[in-house]
Amino acid sequence: MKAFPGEGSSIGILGLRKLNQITTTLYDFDLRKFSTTSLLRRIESIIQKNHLGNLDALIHLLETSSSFLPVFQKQLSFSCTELFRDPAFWRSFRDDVLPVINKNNSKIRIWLPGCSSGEEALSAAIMFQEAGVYEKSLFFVTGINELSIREARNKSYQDKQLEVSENNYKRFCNDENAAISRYLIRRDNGFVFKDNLYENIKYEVFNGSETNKIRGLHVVLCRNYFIYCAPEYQNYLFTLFTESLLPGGFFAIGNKENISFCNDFDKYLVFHKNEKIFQKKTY
Amino acid sequence: MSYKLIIIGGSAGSFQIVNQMLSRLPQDFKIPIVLVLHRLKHVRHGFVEALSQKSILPVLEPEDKTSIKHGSVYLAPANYHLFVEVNGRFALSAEEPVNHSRPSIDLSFKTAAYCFREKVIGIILSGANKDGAKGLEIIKKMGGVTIVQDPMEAQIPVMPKAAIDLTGRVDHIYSSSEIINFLQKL
Repeated sequence: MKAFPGEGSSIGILGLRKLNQITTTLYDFDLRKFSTTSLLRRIESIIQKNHLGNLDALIHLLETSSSFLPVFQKQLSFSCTELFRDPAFWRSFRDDVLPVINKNNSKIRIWLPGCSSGEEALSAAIMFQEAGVYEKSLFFVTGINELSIREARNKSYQDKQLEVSENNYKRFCNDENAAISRYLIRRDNGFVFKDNLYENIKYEVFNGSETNKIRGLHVVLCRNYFIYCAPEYQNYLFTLFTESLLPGGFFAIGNKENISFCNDFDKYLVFHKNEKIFQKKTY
Repeated sequence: MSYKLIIIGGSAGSFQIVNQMLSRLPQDFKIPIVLVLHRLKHVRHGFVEALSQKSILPVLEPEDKTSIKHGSVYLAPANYHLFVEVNGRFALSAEEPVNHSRPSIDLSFKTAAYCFREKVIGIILSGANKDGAKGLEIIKKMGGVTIVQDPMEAQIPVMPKAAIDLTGRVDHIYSSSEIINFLQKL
């Protein structure tokens, strides 16, 4: 086995193949969906976090204990731990996208795939509440399994973890005195976001299959999710999301993500170039 | 030896050197250059424009899954880690900062070393933290060429010093003009 030396990492491409053989045969869970470098980093960290020592121990654990699979799957996803990442994006969404989707009385349906630890959904919920459209909106937040959506729903914070979010929020509001803390309440040893932010958020498992997708959407908010997907899988998911969107609906990606190589890219117009917001054509 | 990638890490005090370097490379310089420079995470615009002003070669901020091309200079975008993938493309990550940095020089150097092994040249410039030291060490271990800006010359010597200490024997400790000379001769 040609290993990747250095830094205690000895997984390498061959190691990945070995691992993938186990996850696909035993659990029909194909690791080739993920981009390689991030996947390698995740697996290194899973080995460390679970005190496994090396890749063979991880493979052995997956072979012998199916109850480890959900933990493994959950730990494979990166968490973006900040709210209002890229304040300029949220301002554009509020000022340019919201007026378009808030034209009539019907519900606004939004899908956030890849819940990670839930911060994107909370940012959206806060923005919608401030804009007065939260009540008529429904957010679908999906994760890879029950464990991951449960964690996203029950996330609590220590003071320090909110520093970045606090600064992002001030920039979003363009107000030095804006305080995201007004949405927080103290619980146990940390802070949680107030329950009313969660009222219209539905947490669901999304396994990536056609039959599992959500339909009739006004927005798919998909920032910094495709960066962890292999190109072929991104292309597949993008088609699936496109079918989920209503004509005229919006698709947002991270400001350095790229969908121009995807088959369905020509079904969209560029709505906001810098913030990477696209609008599905109505024809 | 035909090198596949030059990767440069720097922080405070490195901008001027990079700028000078980019203004003095030959027009037909082929080897892709990746710049991983610490920058403010909320300032997404202006940096690439500033570097482009004097650069002979085009300077770009790569998007996710962009292929790495000859004759281009790539600047790691704000608030993402920049990885070199085995398929010859860039990959981005929004995972937590490493060494308080995103982009982290260590992560980018490490992935470049894994993909291109002895065909990478890693360069560490002036800076005020230790990011990049581990990355340079890995480039060295994988057989690549390691260059560090002379701490005596560096505006802030912490980063070059850390890289020299950890790597043990870097291949060259150069002044900025020696670095430029070295690149011009490739």
